[in-house]
Order: sequence, then structure tokens, then C-alpha cells
Amino acid sequence: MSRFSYFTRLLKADLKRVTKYIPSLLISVCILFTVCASAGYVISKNLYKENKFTAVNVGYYLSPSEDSDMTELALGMLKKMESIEESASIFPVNTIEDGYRMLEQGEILFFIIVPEDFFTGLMDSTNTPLEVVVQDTSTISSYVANELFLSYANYLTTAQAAIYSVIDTLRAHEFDEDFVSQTDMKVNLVFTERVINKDSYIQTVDATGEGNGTLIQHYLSAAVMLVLLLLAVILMPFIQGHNSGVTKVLKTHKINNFHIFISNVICTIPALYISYIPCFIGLSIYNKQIFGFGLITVIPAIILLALIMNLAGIFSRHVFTGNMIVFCITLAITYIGGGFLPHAMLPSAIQKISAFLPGEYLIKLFGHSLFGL
Amino acid sequence: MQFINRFTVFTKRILAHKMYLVMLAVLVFLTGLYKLLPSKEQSTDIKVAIYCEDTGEYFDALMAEIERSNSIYTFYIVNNEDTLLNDVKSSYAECGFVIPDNFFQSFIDGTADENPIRMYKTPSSTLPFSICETLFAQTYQIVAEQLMLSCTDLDAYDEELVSIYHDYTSGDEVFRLMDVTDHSFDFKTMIYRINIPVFEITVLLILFAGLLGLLLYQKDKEKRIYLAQNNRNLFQLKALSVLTSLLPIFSVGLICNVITYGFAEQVLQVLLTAIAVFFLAMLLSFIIRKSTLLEKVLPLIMLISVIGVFVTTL
Repeated sequence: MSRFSYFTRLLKADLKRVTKYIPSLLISVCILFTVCASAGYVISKNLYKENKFTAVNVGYYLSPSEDSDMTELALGMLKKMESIEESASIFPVNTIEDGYRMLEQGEILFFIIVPEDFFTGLMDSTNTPLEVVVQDTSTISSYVANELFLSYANYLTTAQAAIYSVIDTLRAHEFDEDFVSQTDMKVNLVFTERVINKDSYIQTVDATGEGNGTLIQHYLSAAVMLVLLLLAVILMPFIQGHNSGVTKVLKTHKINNFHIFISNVICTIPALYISYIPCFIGLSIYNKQIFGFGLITVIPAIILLALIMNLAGIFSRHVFTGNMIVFCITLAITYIGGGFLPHAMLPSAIQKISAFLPGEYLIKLFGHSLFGL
Repeated sequence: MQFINRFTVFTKRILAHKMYLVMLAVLVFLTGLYKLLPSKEQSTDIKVAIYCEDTGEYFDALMAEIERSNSIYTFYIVNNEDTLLNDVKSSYAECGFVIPDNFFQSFIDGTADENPIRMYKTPSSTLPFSICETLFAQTYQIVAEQLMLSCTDLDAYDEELVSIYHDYTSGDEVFRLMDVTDHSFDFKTMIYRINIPVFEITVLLILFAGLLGLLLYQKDKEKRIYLAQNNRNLFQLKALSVLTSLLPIFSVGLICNVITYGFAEQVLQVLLTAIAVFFLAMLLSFIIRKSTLLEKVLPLIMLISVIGVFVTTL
């Protein structure tokens, strides 16, 4: 019989041997996947801890005046701004004395005294000063609030400068008063519109995604990779199954350790592929979408995993040592590939070597197979 | 006497185990690394990444204006959107802004809602909308001149308009809010040590050592070494095997934690962990009676522990 025939017989025997491991593999994959997927879910939800800025309390006193309705309207608009909502809490105080008392007791950080006819002053360029009293100017909160108020004031300063310039120029050249009024109105509207609509000029984009998918998809892909790699614990007795006696007999038929290795790899591939199917079905149900093509595109990843397992198997004498080697390799590959922390959060040295190790590519391959990413 | 003999033999055996020595070396190495690495000074200012696709002259003016405004946010320019995204994801930058091509002109034309600035943020981004306000206020200021000219449509008077506008912006006739902070803000830098999870690794190694002790006992038993022993002696041997596996790693771990954290809460927690692992190993010995099964379960227990430790340290 030729070497090829013996190899085919070895392959058949190994395939028969590996089928005995299938039930254990399927049970293990269900347990491991539940653990790893749950962990992935928890990590993806907690990785970016929500940073809540303690809102700064700002009190204001409105002096009774004819344009108080306009002031109230402006304050109402101010309170609805997203920047104010995330950083400040604005409320009225009844008297100036109350405001100072609250300031002293630390109930408010800023106290704004809106003078009489404040808005009329803005319109006719008398610009009655707005008094802002601050108790503590050394905390980050006071700096944030201060910067926010300076930004709002900047809108007003810029718009006023433009409006006054247009009116002055037109009047200097003795334009018709109606035209001056119309142009003033137009400039006023354009400058106000740009400020009012500013939120629509900014599109908020969530940066938490990884690659083409979401963070949860990334972690689920990493979980599948982790699970399949850890199945080495079940498959290690199979990989190291040829004892020295069997090896000696095989050598008489020109079947050496390399042939045994190849046979083991070939047999490990279908075992891992069958183990992958419950993960694929589970995640397709979770995703409410099946990427049938993914069952083909996952094959390179499965081959790579089979190679890693078998290499760990031939470099260790005992099952336990083999398991520990695979465990360490699994943790290293997963960490460097961004399976525990997204790529951007890894130290820069790790980010650089990541491209030379299979973890990143394996996670991408599983992401493509499971979610079509 | 018999107890001391057994204790000595077991301790010698575990200390001859290469994997065990590696575990001890890892702990000592990490502690040394923690103590020997110099402290670093890190800026804690609020960094904001900015990438501009608009090739016009407005962007330079915008950055100059932000610089001049003495903002508490540190805006810095990146070369591409990927770097910006990376910085936001890694929390190096609180958030990032991508100014699209022709944004400033579309802002002047009133069509910026069709060509908006993209603000990248994560749930951990602090104050993105307040930062946005600073950026927008400066943008508003630098395009105001052109905005004014475009909506007046008086080409013949453009120069005069601009001149008067500059007079107003540099004068005191327009509304101004004075900076009320006293510039004593001292959050700019902090000293930190590189955070090495000595405590977490100690806990994991103690767990592993305890289970390794149990595994060694089970292997001995399966080799029929303890065939002549009665149940009481077997229990004592099992407890001793686990205990001797725990003690060296516990002692070294304790010293490493004292060196790293001082006599803090972690030191007590190391002691409690060792006690808990001892009882866990003893309990597990009644459930898993064969070493082959324990060999298979051990990586799973380790994996769950690693994930557990990772999740709790997030």
C-alpha cells in the first residue's frame, strides 16, 4: 500500500475518533458561549461609563421692567439649549438678597442680576450691564459655566456689531429709513437664525462602534472566537491521542508526525465547524437576520483556529499542559486582537503588533460571518 | 511529626513545579515593575480633537480665535478622521469634530444643515454640547463679517461696513461679558503611577494555585499512592495539598500587595480570597472526583475568573 493509502486510512480513523467528541463539544459550546456572550454584553454596556457632570446651579433675578416678557422668553430659550441642559440648572430667585444668601450658602454657584430694560438696552445699544456674581471661581464647574456664558455673550456681541455696522453705514449714506429698517431686520433675522438653528449644524455620531459594527457585535464576534479556541480543552485528548506505540507503527508505513499533524488538523476543522453552528444559529436569532454566506466565509477562521490548537497540542506532552498553552494563547490573541478592549484602548505598542497576530483578523472574520460586517 | 513531614514534602513538590515558579515570578515581576517605573505627569485638561476637510482660510482663523479665547478646552488638530475616531474611542479626547468640506461657506449661505459638522462622542464624553458651544461661538464670530456682507448686498459699501464692524468688535459699545474666573484653576496636571492590577492578578493566581493543589492530590490518588490511607487521612492529605499550594503564592502575594498598596483593604482581601479558595477547592473535590475532568474544567473556571475580574475592574 502506498503512503497516500495509509494516510487516507489514518484520516478515516481520526474522523471516526473525532465524532466521539461531538456531543461533548456541543454541550461545551453552549455553556462557554453563554458565559462569553454574557460577559461580552456586560463589557460592551459598561466599557464607556457615562460621565455625568454635576450641573451648576445658576440663580437669576429679573428686575421688574417693561420688557420682562421678552427676558423671560429669552431665558426660556436658554434653558432648552442642550449645552445648558447638560451643565447648568437655571432658576429664578425672588429678591437680590435671596440670591446673595443662596450664593453664600453654596446653593448656587452663579447669581445673575438682570437689570431693568435689559433687552431694550440691547436693541438701542445702551447695553445696560448684566451683573454676574460668583462665589467660587476655582472649581472646574465654575470654569465650564463661565465659558458657556462667554460663548452666549459672544453670539450677542457678534450679532450686535454686525447690526450696528449696517445701520451706521446706511444712515451715513442717507438711505431711506424704510430701507434701513428692512435691512436691519434682515441682518437681525439672519444672525438670529444661525444661532437658533445651530443644533442642526452639528450631527452627533456615536464613536463606540468597532470596525463596521457596533460594540456589542464586536464583543459577540470575539466571544465566538474565544469559545472555539477554548474547545481545545475538549479536543486536546484527540489531538494528543496517538501514543508512542501507534506513532512507531505508523512510521513503519512512512506516516510521520507531520502526517499525523495534518490528519489531526483536517479532523479538527469539521469538529470546530459543527461547534460553530450553534453560535451561528443563536446569534442569527439575536440579530433577526441570517447571513447564509457567513457559513462559507467563516471557513478560513476555523482552519486558523484548528492550526493553533494542533500546534499547541504537538508542543506539549500532556493534555493539561496543552490546555494551559491554549488557554494562554487564547488570552493573548483575544487581548491583542481587541477582544477584551477595543483596539483604540489598547496600549500603542500592542496596537502596533496587533496587525501581525491573528486575533484582529479572526474577530473580523467572525464579525463578517455572523453579522455580515 | 507526620503532619510536618507531609507539609514539607508537599511544599517541596509544589515549589519544584515549573508553572508554580512562573506564577510566583509573575507576581514579583509585576510588583517590581510597579515600584520601579517612574511616576508620570499627565495633563488632565479636556482635550478635543478637530479635523477639517474645508480647505478655505476660515479654519486657520477659527483655530487662532480658539487659541486667543483662552478656552478651558484644548482643541488640537488631527490629520485624518481615523485618528480623530481613535482618540475619541480611547477617551484621549472628550469628543471630536470633523468640519466637512465647504462648511464655512454653507454656514454663510444658510445651508449648513445639509453639510453639518460631525461630532464624535462616546457615553463617557463629558460636556460635549458645552464644548460644541465654544466651537460654534468661535465659528460664528469668524464668519460674521462675511455673513453680514452677504445679507446686506451693498457691494459698494463693503469696505466701509467691514471697517465699522471692526471698530465695534474692538470697542466697548457692544455687549460684553467679562471673564469671572480668577485663573487659579489647578486641575491641569496630575501625577499618576502606571496602574498594574497586582491585586487582581494575585486573586487569580491564588485561585489557580488552589485548584492546582487539588489536581495534584487527585493525580496522586489515581496513581494509588494513598491506597493504604483511611478516609480521615485522605481528607488531611487533600487539605494539606491544597494548603501547601496556596501558602507560597499567598505569602508572596501578600508581600507584593503590601509593597504595592501599603496596608490597605487589598491586603485583607488577599487573605479572605485565600481562605475562600481553600474552601472552594475542598468543596470542588466532592463534585469533581477525577483529575481528567478537573483538567478540562480548570481552564473554564480560569476563563470565568479572568472575565469576572475584567468586568469588575471596568
